[in-house]
Amino acid sequence: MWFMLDTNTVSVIAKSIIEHQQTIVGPLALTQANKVYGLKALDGGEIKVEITGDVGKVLTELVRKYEEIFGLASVEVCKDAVKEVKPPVLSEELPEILR
Amino acid sequence: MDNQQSSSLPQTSGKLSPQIEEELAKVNKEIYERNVELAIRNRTLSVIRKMYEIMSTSLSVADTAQRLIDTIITELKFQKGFIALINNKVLKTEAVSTLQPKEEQLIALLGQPFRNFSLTLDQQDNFCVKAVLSQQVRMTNNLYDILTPQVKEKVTQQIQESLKIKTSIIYPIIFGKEVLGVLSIGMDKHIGSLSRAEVETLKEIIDVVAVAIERARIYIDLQEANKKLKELDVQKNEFLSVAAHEIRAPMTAVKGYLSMVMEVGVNSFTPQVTEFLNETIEANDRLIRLVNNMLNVSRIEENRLVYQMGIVNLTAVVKTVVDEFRFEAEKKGLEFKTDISNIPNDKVYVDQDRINEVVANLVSNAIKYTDKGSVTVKLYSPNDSHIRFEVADTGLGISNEEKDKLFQKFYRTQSSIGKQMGTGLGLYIAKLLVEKFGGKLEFASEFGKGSKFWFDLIVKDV
Amino acid sequence: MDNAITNQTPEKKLTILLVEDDPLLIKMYTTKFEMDGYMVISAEDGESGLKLALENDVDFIILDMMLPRVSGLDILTKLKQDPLKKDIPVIMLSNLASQKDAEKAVSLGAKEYFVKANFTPTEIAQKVKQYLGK
Repeated sequence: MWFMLDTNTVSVIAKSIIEHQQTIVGPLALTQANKVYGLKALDGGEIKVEITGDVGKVLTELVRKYEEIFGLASVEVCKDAVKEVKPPVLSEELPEILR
Repeated sequence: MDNQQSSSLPQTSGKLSPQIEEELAKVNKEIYERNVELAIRNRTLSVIRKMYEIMSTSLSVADTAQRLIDTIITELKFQKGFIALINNKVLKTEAVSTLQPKEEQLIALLGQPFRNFSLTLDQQDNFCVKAVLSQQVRMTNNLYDILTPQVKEKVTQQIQESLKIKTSIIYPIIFGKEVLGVLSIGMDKHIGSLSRAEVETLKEIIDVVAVAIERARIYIDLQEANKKLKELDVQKNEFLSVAAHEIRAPMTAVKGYLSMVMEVGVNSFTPQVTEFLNETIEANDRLIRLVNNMLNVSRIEENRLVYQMGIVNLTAVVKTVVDEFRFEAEKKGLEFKTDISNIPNDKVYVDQDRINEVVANLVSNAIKYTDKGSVTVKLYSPNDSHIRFEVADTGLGISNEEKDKLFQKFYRTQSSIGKQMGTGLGLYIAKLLVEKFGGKLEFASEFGKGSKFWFDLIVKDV
Repeated sequence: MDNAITNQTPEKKLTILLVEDDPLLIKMYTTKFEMDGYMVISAEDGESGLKLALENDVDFIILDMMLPRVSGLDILTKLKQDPLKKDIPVIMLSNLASQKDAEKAVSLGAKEYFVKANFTPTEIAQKVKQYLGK
């Protein structure tokens, strides 16, 4: 899989996803996120996300972690979270699960 | 990867059966979905709440529109927006969302296309006009559709690029059946890229915008109307004062000369001429009373009337009035009954001339509006602290429609008597005066049977 | 009702000074007073009225409250300050029934205060007779 997104943008996307999940499941959003290998999320008032390694893989894994427990509805939430990122992210640049 | 069907919740050492775990997973998902709905709703409500706050604290249409568009663009993180309203069939910008300074500079250089937006409703190429006429939402990826024909195509391309607007949506602002204008929003993405929360919020806020704008408009209209009414009232009072004033000199002269005519010629006139002269004198005196009334009204209302307050024996006042009107009542063939004796305490703190006016007005009305039967004047103590003056008649009575208007200024009853005789000021003044003295003028009546008017005043221990 | 010429000696007619800004009313009151045998001099404003009072032998003064440029009360005050003229009886005429004005006028030395529209010239003439009398 070939991703053109830089680490920074992916962090922003991940942050948006986690924040959106937070409004629905509260602290569980962070817990699940931190289960993802290569992702570190801290809540210091505002969410801070650090991504290492294969950004595409990490992003996909993040979405899956939510899907595991909450099903397809949570994937939709992740997609919405991406839609609200500024500046807008092109669909082609996203991993498959988020398109 | 985990099996998507089973739950990944911490294992409970196999105490739960797979079925229950499955159930739990389902419940989880349902709760999650419901929470999603709630979260979306929450976001919409939070924006709407901000808009309601604007509605309740803004006063002008311009202020309301500006705050609304700024809130909408900020909350939804859009690029640009403006609200244009229709005035005299011209669609003109009312407010433009505030931009970053650099962007503002650029827009200024390009001639403030949004601010100077002004269209007539026949320019149907323009999407804003289309939205107004069709009362439906319009969308476009081409900013030119919104700014045509005022801005050149090349310029709009420049604007679109620098503001990073990909899609614009134009909402008609509709209140009831009226289209108030349009709300236009420029986004940096396409419609399909709107999240569900964004879609729902957009849908809801347009109605709130309509209510907010309409409310601001009504407020302004009301203020205008109120101001005009106040001005009219002042003008009217001034006019009354001036008119009454100017009339007085010739009126006084007529009274004077009439009296001198009587003086000089009383022995040489025929009885008929004498009668004619007496009628003229009476009519003129009535005219003088009328003008005095009109002048008094304006002075009472503006609190310029000076009262001579003092302890007055109400019995004496009533007696004077009764004596004055007895003849008139008997001339009409009415039974004129009085019951004004035996009152232990009849002392009230009033202006004697004014209370005389009130009593005279009420008695005079009773006689005027009664053709047969009786007029009864009573003075008594309804309780220890008050004295009541009451006039009852068996006359025309007052219909239900007229009951509410009776004490209004210049209101005359529909009957022909009212039209002939009244100024419409008598009861109005009577009410003002009684209230000034701490009492209340009340009445009860049945149409066709008769009326009763009364007022209570506090009695004074001397 | 008093008509015909009264209370004057054939030699000297009593003089009434009338200061009133409406010529219509000057004519009316003048007619009545002359009918009653008085001599009437009149002025339409305060200064002229004051001048007439000072330059003539006047027995009674009728003063309008509202005059152009100056108020009747001011003229009254000036009259009462003049040692030669202060004892001449003065009555005030007004368009409006103002209790405050009435009290002020009396406190400044006027005999009475009348609302023109409520009194006939005959009634005014009776007051004049009353204050000039014994």
